[in-house]
Amino acid sequence: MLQLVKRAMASDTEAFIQLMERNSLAMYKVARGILKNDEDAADAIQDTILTCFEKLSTLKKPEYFKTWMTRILINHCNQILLHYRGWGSWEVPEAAGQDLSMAEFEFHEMLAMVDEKYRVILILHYVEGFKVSEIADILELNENTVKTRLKRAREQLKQVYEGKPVQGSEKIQKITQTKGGYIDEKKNGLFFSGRITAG
Amino acid sequence: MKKRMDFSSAEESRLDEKARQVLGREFEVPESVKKAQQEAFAEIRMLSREKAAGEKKKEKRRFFTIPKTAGGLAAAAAVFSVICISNPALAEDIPLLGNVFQELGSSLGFSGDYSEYAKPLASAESEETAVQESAAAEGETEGAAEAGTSADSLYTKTSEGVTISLSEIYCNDESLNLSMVIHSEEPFPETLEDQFGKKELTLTAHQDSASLSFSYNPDFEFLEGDLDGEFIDENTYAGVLRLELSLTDTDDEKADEYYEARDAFLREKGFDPDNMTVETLDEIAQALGMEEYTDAGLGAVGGPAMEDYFNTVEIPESFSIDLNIHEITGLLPESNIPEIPQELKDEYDAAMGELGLNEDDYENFTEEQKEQEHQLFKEMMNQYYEMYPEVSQYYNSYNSWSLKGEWDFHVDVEIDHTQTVTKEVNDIDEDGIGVASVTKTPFELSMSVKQGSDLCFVAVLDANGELMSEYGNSTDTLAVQDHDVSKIDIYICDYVEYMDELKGYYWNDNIEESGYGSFKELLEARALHHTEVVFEE
Repeated sequence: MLQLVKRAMASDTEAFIQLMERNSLAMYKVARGILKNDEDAADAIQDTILTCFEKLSTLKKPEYFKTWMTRILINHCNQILLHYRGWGSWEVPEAAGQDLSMAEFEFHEMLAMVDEKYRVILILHYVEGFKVSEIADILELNENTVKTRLKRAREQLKQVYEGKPVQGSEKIQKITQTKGGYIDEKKNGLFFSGRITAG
Repeated sequence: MKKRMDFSSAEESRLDEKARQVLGREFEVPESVKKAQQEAFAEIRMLSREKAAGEKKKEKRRFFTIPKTAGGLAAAAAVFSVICISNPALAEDIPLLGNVFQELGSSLGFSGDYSEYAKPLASAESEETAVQESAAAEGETEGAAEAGTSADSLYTKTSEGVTISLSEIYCNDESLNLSMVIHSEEPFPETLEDQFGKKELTLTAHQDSASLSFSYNPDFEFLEGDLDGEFIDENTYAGVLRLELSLTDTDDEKADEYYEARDAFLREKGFDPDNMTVETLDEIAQALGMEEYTDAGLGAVGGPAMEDYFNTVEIPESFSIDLNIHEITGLLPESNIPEIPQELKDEYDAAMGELGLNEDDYENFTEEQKEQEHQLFKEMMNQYYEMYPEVSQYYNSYNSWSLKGEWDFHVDVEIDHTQTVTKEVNDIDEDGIGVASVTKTPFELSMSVKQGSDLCFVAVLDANGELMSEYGNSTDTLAVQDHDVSKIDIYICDYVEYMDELKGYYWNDNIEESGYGSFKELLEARALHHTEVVFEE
């Protein structure tokens, strides 16, 4: 990917586009770690691509690309959240009944198991492989806060997977699997429903 | 590469693995995300092409290599058939030729009802007559028609199975608008849609793709030949070529003198103007104490000043143009730019290995090692560009299709002044910032703005406080579209402040976060200069 970053930095538009395409799933996962529906995630990703293109000259070293892009993405996601708060409303619920692959279903399912504020940290840590110091930098949080949140997130996962009691996790409700492969789960404002398709 | 947390128990490791596995699994991103991405990519391609065109214009001798694009359809004479469009007002079908403005008017960037003002050139009837007449006279014209075919007439030319017909013309004080229909015997190749669902063709993909000369300025350099239009069917494209007259009156002879002076100045400073790269431009900027290299900035650092050289020629009331098209180009929906070949990557890795360097460890390189890596990377890229020289061009055979032929036109033009209103405002403050004059036509607003020494952005609000945002070739020209321009407010803002902050409140629809009640109030408070212009009381 470093080669692509360098080509993009040398004003190669097609390389930039390839770079963004390669990062699309990663961007989507980070965005869904913060935002609660695909439409908002799509908006944030679109804004991120345009901002990255516009500001590519401010990226000093190609190896910082991933951190730099992720920070831009998180800023856009946060702007969308702020926008909702500004309007005094909460999130637009996910449209029900969309087709999901098993992998995608499980991804959403696992995210739904932990408190909102821990989700993006899980993604950055497990999907992106960022170090705690990098996550702290991206999210503008203290390193200890990141460590604590990561620990809490893991405890919550543990409780769901292993049924162990976890401190401060009373809010967690059981995920209900209904017939026909639908799940419908409400927790901390999250409303998620989808249909699993084969594959 | 992934850094793990230090988890002590095996149980925790299992959980860790599970999370990594579930969250890290690959799946297709949702359609809405794909769509949003494609829209962003379309905009980026457009922006980068605009940028490339702008650079070509400003620094015309900087980059030279113009590769030939492969392709073109097999030669075959086309007989033009009458293509119709439906006219809901008349509840009947009308021919496309002679009515292109009516068909496209509302979808054009500088939208509006041109048909009210435009003069028809080719019409379906005259084309049919032309076909019959030239068919009858075929024997006589034999041998004479090298580029054209028997169906040619004044405003319709056929070459290589593709017929271009000039449909209508409208020229006011600001722009020349020429509508045309391109009909191909073979269906057109699939073409990339921009974010508005439009498919743009260009006549100026390369320097030798087309030429356009104005009788008052035969050396005019034709660089912006993008057609604003759409496919009527898979064989027919209708589009409008819009040229801002302010771009056509540069005295090129004087401009050539400028480039000679510029090159001489750069040589004197120890640089080779015939061998410029992005890096050398940065070096020049550094050596001369410029923040960023631009030709325009040379005057301030002891070089030739552009304004001493760039004269304009007067545009007469009536004139003629010669348009010679050699190539029509469109972007393919998918680009197939080749990857850097594995052997080049291997060579790079091997060379890195010899130096004991590993790219993954770049973070820990010393400055010297970074320099070595940079050199190797550059060598690899140079070899790549040597293998695929076209890749450095915006339009190339990997991302675009092209139809070649010879279509030559001569058109008489008369400027319509009747719809033009100019307000001499002369509202310029002591910092030299302000508005000198504003010109309005049914389709465009053109401002003469004085920006002072710092980079500015000019934002214009219509009578309803709505931002006017469709620009022409420069930010001094705006499309009127559906805006109420009986009164406009012109705000000259600090460029960075406007781009990084102010415009965001308008586009994100979150003005309340700015602490002002409306975008207009925000601009009133933050702009460097404000001028109100009233066109109708």
